[in-house]
Amino acid sequence: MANLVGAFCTAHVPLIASQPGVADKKQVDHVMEAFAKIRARMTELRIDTAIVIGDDHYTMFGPHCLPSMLIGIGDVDGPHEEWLGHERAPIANNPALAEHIMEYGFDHGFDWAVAKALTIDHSTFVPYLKVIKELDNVKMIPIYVAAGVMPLIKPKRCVQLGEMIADAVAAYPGDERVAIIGTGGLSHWVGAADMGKVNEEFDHMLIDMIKRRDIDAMLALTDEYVLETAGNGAYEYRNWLVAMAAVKEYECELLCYEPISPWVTGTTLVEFKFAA
Amino acid sequence: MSVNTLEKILWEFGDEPARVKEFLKDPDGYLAAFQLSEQEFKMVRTMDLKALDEYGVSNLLAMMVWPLLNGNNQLMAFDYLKKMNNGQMVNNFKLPGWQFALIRMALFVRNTWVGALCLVGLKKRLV
Repeated sequence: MANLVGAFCTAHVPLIASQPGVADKKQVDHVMEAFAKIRARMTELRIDTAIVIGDDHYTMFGPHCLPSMLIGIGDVDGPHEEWLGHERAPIANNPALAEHIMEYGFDHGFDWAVAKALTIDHSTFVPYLKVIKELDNVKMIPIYVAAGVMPLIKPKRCVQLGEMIADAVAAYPGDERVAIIGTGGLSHWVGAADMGKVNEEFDHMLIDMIKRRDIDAMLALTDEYVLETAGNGAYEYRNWLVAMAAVKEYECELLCYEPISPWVTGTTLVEFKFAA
Repeated sequence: MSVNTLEKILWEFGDEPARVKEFLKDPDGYLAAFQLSEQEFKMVRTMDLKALDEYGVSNLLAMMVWPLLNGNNQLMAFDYLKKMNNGQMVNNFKLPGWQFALIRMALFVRNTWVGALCLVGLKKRLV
């Protein structure tokens, strides 16, 4: 039986990959140290497969097809965006486990979209670059939820998705040691007039909910409130909900929080440590 | 005729850069292929970022397309933000004062230069 043994959430700000140096060095160092802590924990937990939850930014998918949720079961490469400054290259998937999760989803009411070949955008590429790529033999299964482009996936569905993924991993006959990584920013206004603004008060409120695993409080947030208070980028708490819901009980360790205006986002990394 | 059509137009610029060249060469001809209301035609023809935003067009798309149409350099992020703020330069990125002043000046020079090129017919003006 495969085991879900690790859970993390990380920022996926594209500037981490393209131009980290535009931000204050102390803040950048703090974020990079937090990524290093995740790498160390992944090694300690002997993770061999990471399920990474991202959201498209109108890069991978267009108005002709906007999947509410999607799993990449085959070839993966990235990044999609040339401006990230990283040459597109293959990324190792775990196709057997990915297909199992896909089928398990189909059997349990998740008629998700499936990518047999997927070129990932920065939302899953940044965590790949800063965590997975630097580790030996860790494979990545990308999962996308609609948290960036309208129409958005319902947060409640993200919770159900996270629970289903955990069940699917537990039902897999392999001996994989799996981590789930939610990605995204806290408050940020992507392409809006307020781009660059960070609402620290909102960020701390959300971090508090995340630390307490107060999923109900997060489900009570309306899209109108989130947009007004924390910007269109903050819809990405949906990605975090998937990872949170996959772990029934956890103790959350806040690895860092930095409000970084030049990166246009409240930047946070956390670990969800499983209850013994 | 809808936000959806406008988003299709912008998304296709990002998906197929050749379309950007086609649009810049003959904006009216390019847009004739789409079902647009007069208002929609005008806002995309002139790339009126603020109007597109208020109409409900995705900010993600507008931000992606702006540098494709105007040159992919770092100044364009500030130019974009200026347009989104009704022509006001805002220091949302909390840059040091001297750096912000330098960017403001560079953007002024750049836009004056582009304006001059348009005036003598070496560049087609969208706005």
